Amino acid sequence: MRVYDHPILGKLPDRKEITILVDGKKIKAYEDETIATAILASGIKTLRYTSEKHEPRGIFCAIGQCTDCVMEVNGQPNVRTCITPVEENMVIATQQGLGTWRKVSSKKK
Amino acid sequence: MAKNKQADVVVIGGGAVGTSAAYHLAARGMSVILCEARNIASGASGRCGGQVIHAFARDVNIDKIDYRLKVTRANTEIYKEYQKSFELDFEFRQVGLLDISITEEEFGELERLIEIQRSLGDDEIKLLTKKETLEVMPNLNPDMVSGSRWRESDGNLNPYKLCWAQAVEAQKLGAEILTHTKVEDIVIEKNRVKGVRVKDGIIESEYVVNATNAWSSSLTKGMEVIPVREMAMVTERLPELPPQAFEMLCFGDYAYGATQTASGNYNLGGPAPNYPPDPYDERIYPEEVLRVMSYINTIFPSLEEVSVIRSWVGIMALTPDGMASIGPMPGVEGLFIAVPDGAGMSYAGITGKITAEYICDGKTSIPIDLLNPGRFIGKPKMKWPKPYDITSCHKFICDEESRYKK
Repeated sequence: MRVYDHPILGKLPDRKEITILVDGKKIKAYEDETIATAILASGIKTLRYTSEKHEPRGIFCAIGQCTDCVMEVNGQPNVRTCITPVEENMVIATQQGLGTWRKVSSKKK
Repeated sequence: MAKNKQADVVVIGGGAVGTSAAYHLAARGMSVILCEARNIASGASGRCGGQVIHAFARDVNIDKIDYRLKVTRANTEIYKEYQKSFELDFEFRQVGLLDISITEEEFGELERLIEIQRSLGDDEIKLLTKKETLEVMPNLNPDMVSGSRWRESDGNLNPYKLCWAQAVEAQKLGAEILTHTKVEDIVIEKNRVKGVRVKDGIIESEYVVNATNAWSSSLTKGMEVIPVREMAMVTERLPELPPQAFEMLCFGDYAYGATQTASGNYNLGGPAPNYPPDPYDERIYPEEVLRVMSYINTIFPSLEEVSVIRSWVGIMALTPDGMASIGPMPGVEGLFIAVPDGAGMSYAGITGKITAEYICDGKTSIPIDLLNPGRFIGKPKMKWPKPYDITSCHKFICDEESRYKK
């Protein structure tokens, strides 16, 4: 769900549409928005499951402090999705517990 | 409060060695009081990387290599016994340790070392090529590896938990642990220990064990230790990474660590290169954090985006010749020194046991002649390397011939 025309903030500006991959599913996102925003807009509310009780967690603080929204992004677990901008073809996965370390060495930027 | 207190043995220092000594002495039926200036594991024991290494260091003195292996192996046996009998777990895991070389020249040095170790009957130590090293620890930066020395039985533990586990078991056996009780002085009369002086009185005892590591020389004359500032940091909780501990000489400094706690935090360490005027300064400076983080990023590029949640500085101690100082202090009856050199987690268990054996039986299961704490008395005053960082200390220790030169 997105608010395209907010009564106070006004209309959403036009932005480039990109695609990200969440748990193998293609999801539309707008450039410069955060991963959590795009995922929430597509209707997914569970971002991870806790490590001990395996309970679902979603966005909580949305300012990068509480780490409730961490997901595996491009093989790297524990990425705070509420403050990480989306990139074209980003591979994102729901994190189970502490996640799985898939990344062996980083790409040089 | 401390007035009129009395015990068979007073142990000074509540680190891994002090609590181990208290536990082993209490297990032998002695009445023990442990005095710790701060809290359990406040010094190097609560601040280290927790590596359990057999025969570490790169010096080539045959006696030392052989002896260290014997002592540290006995220590590992004690940890295994602990695991069976202790109530608390201290996360001891034998995951192996890599002593990584970066340059080809350094690799040659390792080859020579391994040849010596093997000729001494150490059949466990292995030389790994670059490819084999990367197979063992795939998240290493391939540009930073030319090979490694590998021992499977090495490993790591949670040092904080080890201290607590030993302290708890010692208390169960009747030992009394006084935290925030600073020992100001060891009371000696007519070359015989009478007890220790604390703020509000004297604790009388027949024996005193000085297990204060970097601070031991201020309590006992004739002891020589070099305080070495080191820093360590711990990351957020991570999924299980290749668990091997490692040690490497990185840009002229030692980097080490990679102990992953049971909850997933990764513990990494390195030198604290800021060298404040006071070598006992336990504050951490931002430059130090950044410098060690840059090593870690170079060694493990995949950890680049991992958050570090805490970092700190600890003071470890090295002795002038790279050997522990464990034994009775010559000239003072009843004073026992228990100061392991460097990798204290490879010594803590056995040091406590030796202490208890010596005090109760007058003899030890492992000969301790080489570790005589009085061996520096009367020797020409040594020139310590400056600054007191681990690299120059290691060089100093390895370079035995030049030690007594002006």
